[in-house]
Amino acid sequence: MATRWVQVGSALAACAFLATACSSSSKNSTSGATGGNGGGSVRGVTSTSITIGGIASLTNASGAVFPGADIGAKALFEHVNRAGGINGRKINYVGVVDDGTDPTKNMTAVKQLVLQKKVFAIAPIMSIALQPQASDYLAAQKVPFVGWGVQPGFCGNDYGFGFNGCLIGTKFDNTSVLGPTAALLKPGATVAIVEGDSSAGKAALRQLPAVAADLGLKIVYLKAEIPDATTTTDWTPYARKLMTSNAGGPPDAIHADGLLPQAAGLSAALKELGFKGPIINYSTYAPGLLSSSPDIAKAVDGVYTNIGFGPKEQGGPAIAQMESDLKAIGAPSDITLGVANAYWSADMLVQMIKKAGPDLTPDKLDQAVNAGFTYTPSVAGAMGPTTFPAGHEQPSPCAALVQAKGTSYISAVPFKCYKAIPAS
Amino acid sequence: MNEFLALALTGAVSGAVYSLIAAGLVLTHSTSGTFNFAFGAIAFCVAFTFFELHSGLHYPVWVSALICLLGVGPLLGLALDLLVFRGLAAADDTAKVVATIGLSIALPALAVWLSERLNSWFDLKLPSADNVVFPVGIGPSPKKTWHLSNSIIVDSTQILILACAAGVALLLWVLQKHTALGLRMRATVDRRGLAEMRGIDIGRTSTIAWMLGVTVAGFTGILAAPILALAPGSYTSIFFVAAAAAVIARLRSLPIALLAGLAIGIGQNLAVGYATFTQNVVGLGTAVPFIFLFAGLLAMSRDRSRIAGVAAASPSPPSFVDDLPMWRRRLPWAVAAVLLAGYTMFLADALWLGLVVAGLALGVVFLSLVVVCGIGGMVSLAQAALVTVSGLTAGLLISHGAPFLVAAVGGILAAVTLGLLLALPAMRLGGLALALATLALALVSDSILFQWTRLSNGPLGWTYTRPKIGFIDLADDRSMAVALAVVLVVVSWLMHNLQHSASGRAMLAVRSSAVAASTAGVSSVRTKLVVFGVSSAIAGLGGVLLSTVNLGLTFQSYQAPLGLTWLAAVVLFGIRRVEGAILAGLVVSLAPQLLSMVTSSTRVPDILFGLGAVALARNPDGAIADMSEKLARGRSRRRAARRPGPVPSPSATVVRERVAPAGVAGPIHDSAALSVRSLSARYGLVPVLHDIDLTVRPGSIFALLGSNGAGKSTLCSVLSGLHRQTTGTIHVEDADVSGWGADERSRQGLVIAPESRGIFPRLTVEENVAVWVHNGAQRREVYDRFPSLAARKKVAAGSLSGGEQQMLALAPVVVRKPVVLVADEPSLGLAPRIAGEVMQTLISLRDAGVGILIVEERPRRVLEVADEVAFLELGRITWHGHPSDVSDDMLTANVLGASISR
Repeated sequence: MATRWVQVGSALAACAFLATACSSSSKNSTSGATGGNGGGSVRGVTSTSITIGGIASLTNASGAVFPGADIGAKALFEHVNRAGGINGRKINYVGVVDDGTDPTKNMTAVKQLVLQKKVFAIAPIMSIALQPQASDYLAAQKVPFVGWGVQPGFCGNDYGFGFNGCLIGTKFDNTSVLGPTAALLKPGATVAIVEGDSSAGKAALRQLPAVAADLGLKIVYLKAEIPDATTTTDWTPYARKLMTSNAGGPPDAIHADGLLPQAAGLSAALKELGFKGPIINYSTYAPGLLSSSPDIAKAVDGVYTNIGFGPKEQGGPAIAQMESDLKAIGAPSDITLGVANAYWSADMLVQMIKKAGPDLTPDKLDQAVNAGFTYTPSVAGAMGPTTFPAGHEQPSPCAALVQAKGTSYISAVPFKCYKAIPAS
Repeated sequence: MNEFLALALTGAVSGAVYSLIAAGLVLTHSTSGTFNFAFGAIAFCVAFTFFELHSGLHYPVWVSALICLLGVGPLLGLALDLLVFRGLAAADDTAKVVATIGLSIALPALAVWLSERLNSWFDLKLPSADNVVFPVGIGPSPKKTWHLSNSIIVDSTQILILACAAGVALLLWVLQKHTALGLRMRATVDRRGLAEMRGIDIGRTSTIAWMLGVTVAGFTGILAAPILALAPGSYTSIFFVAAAAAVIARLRSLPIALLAGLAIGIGQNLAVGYATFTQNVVGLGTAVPFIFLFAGLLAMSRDRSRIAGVAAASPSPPSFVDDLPMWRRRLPWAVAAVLLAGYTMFLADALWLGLVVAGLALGVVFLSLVVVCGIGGMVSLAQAALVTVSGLTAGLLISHGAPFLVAAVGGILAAVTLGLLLALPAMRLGGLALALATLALALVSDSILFQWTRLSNGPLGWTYTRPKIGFIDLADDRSMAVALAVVLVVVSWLMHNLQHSASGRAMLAVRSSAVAASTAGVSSVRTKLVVFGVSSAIAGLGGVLLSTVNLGLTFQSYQAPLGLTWLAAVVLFGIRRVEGAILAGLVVSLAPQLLSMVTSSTRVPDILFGLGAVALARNPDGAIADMSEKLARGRSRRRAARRPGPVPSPSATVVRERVAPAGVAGPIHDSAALSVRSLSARYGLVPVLHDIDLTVRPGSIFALLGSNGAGKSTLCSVLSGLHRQTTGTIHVEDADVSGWGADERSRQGLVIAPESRGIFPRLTVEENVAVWVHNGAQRREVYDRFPSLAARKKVAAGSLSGGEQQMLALAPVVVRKPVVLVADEPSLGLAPRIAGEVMQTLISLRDAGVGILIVEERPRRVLEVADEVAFLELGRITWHGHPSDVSDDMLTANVLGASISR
């Protein structure tokens, strides 16, 4: 028995000896970002190409998370390449690494893109698992990254660019969360809002009273109480409370946040108890969902989903271009959350690179964009403008409402941009 | 009141699903001895298959259901039994828990991967499970709804679930309590070896149990689908909730499991409706079921008849390197460490270097599992929570300006505090119950403690800067690697010292037998506290180091389910070894990246966990032990091949004149009840029995006398078929049973009454009798002849007195007579009067024509009744003859273990 410990010890001691012998010699080669403009070699940039990669939570242990996030950016980059690239350089898109919604894998994916694939920039980062450590690392290595600003890395980070700004800051309130809802209601209407039973759900409540006041709505119920894990299969007790939340009666509209099963279950329960007003959530707009079973179609029939991009159902030139770009790379033409966010992330990165000029380096891009830059989507109608450096701290709130009708969706409130108001 | 009724009614529906799962858990545990952590995963797999058949291939609902319930379920159960569970039946709780955890990770991944592969191979259009919510079940779709009153609404899905849950639970209860199959299953779980010796084909019983268990899981999956999202996560979550109900039923009682499931469902709803204070604490509502689970386990721990037996009491595995010189044992590890060090220092690029460093830090965390599970013998699934609490606490302290070392100590203290809270249930709970309690606490920590933003700093978490120690800057990954190597050495050394200190010996004592340890003055409470304290401190240190390596953490970095994966990884390599932990750390860190070079599918790493479970079934001590055992066997074979001299051949029929008086070892006698020829046996590499020859004639008593260690019990075990002989033959009458299993031998008429009472303690007297006596009239005969047993038919056999137990062991044999009965120390520990009764019973059996072999240490009473006597010394028969020829000197010598014949 004793021998085992001795052997581990001796081996590790040998390891330690070797390490001290060479750690000083190797330091120079690893420290410091290789993205600087010294020496003429810029990470991921040649005279004819720019290497870009993406990271997304495509899957988790349960299945898909942001399906389509791997094809949206590719569709746009191929479009740009077909049109001649950027300043004579073609985009070499190395694809999207799936982080499996695991923080450790996300960190590895980040390092893999930077250290092995030697990317100049990352688009999209469409991940729930992006930890501050990973985004800090990207900033230290001077790797610009563009994506969906729902993670702290997109707030207050010079190299983190949310295509619709920083969505989880505390200095501004985002009126797009209730803006389209207000369009469905009369001024002074009452709204009940429930969020997930977690610190994130609780944090999401913060801005809602101010936003509602700005839009002329009256919040009668505001709680973070929907069980976050799927430990509940019966939503009627929550629905019952909402049905009496407006001085004993139902409110005019109900916002039911939470992931898909929670939102769908709560909507079904509300309708069974006789709720007739609009039910709004963030998660029941998903291709294939309504046709997957008669029960889900019935559960979300008439329910609205608040989405941050222009949906396929509303049509228009932006949608047409996305569809043709998807077709050009042989991908299905469903415009999911993943596809749309990745597509517009890529669109914004292309404009940022153009703005940095032909002599492309991370520092040039940093200086050019953070000195003042407004992203205006290459085709209008499905994504809003975003301005930097303001976008490092505040959201660029745009949203649309789609409504489920039978087995398909219709555009209920068209895509529109709302305002960010300073938090009180 | 209306409101209350409405809440209770819909709560009962979720409750019915929990009931069904709990019933399935109780069924598999009581019929296979395994708590099936993969229940939810199996339910998902079958429900997913149903979905693909119905919604993908457009088969009618009933066809899809029949394929799933009569085909997929039973076949999956069969496969799991053959590949995993059969090999684990005799393993300790840790191996069982980990194997089912491995399956819970692998099976859903395999199902999804298969459907993707089928699509690409056969160009099918099978839909994926993504975004499938409330899929079609076996009831009407869309469901029909009825308004019973203004606020009470029921739908067809709810009614179907309630009815099916009640129906299935009733069927299972009837099966378990009132069928021969159920009796065989329970007897097998109670005492596996004895069940086999009583003619139960345990392989077949286990197969049927698993086919049934998996089918019940599948049925639950399909039934519950219309109220769930079709995702493994949903099924796993409701499984965790249902586990509480199974625990409340002590994993034994189906009716209680059913009621407890309903109660939890209703309780959940009433808590939402009435316990409004839960909203004031973030996560409390979510955590309600886990709190039920934890409370249920604590309540259970006050019960004397604990569930799931003692702590994972198991002997240390044999060492396979004892035959090697010291340097030779060290060599492989030294080479591996030098190679790793060389690679890390000179070859690895920044990405791989980072992964090695993270793997080393993970190795520190995994050492904590070696302490709690490997040394302490307790299963902890809460390691991720310990790492998180330590990382967050240290981060909080750093953000307040504390120096790194102070913060690290703070983090470790926080982990120790949480760890001691974990030790609370450990005081009395056994391996499995403790595993569930730690899991519950980890889940509660995730949903409540880590949601507390003052501790966690919300989604931002805490950022760490790597400190400078003297002139060494840990910001460099190579320096960090060295520092971690030093930490690993120091922690390993401390663990080594601890193991060899008084506390370490106490841990070993408590692990082996808490009762025995307490009689030796070792406090099992104090020892368990020390184990958890030390383990938590190491996990806490690991948490600080992991956070330092990764430059920080958030409350989401290491969530509770990760603790399951971690334990599985360490066990797969060897939970009792420091090397196993370090290797597991490196593999967990490096494997995903290595695999991504081979396959783009994120399912493949998960599927590999399933292969790990299969490997574990082959060797529950892990991959390192498996490899070292194989190498040892190879060495032993090579040595045997080199050694000159006779090699025992499997069909040796040499008759030893020295020990064999005429008639004993001659040709197989026509009238022999039992004939043993040239029988040898060994344990591992140690020979125990050498060339045993003996013949027991019908209607006679053959007494085999031998001192402690002579090989008597081994002989009984070889005769029973539980232990295989290396050479020689065994005949029962004319049948050569040498290669037969214990159950087949007993059906042939060779019955063993083992040393420590041949009864099933958890079965009632009535059931004990029924295991051997299948005929009702014969059972009545038993009670006629043993009225004392008749009076206690419904009593658990374990609560009978020693004498009653021995009578219970023999009574069935008196009625359904064997050809030959082997009685191993039948009067051991009995009062003289009872011992006399036992002897009378044996005599009456002899008079009825049964051949009897009594294996005894104390000869007096046996000599009075025996027709032939033989002495067994050091595995050989040294004397054989008539009882009247036995002299007092021979008896004295035999008792003292001295030689008789020379």
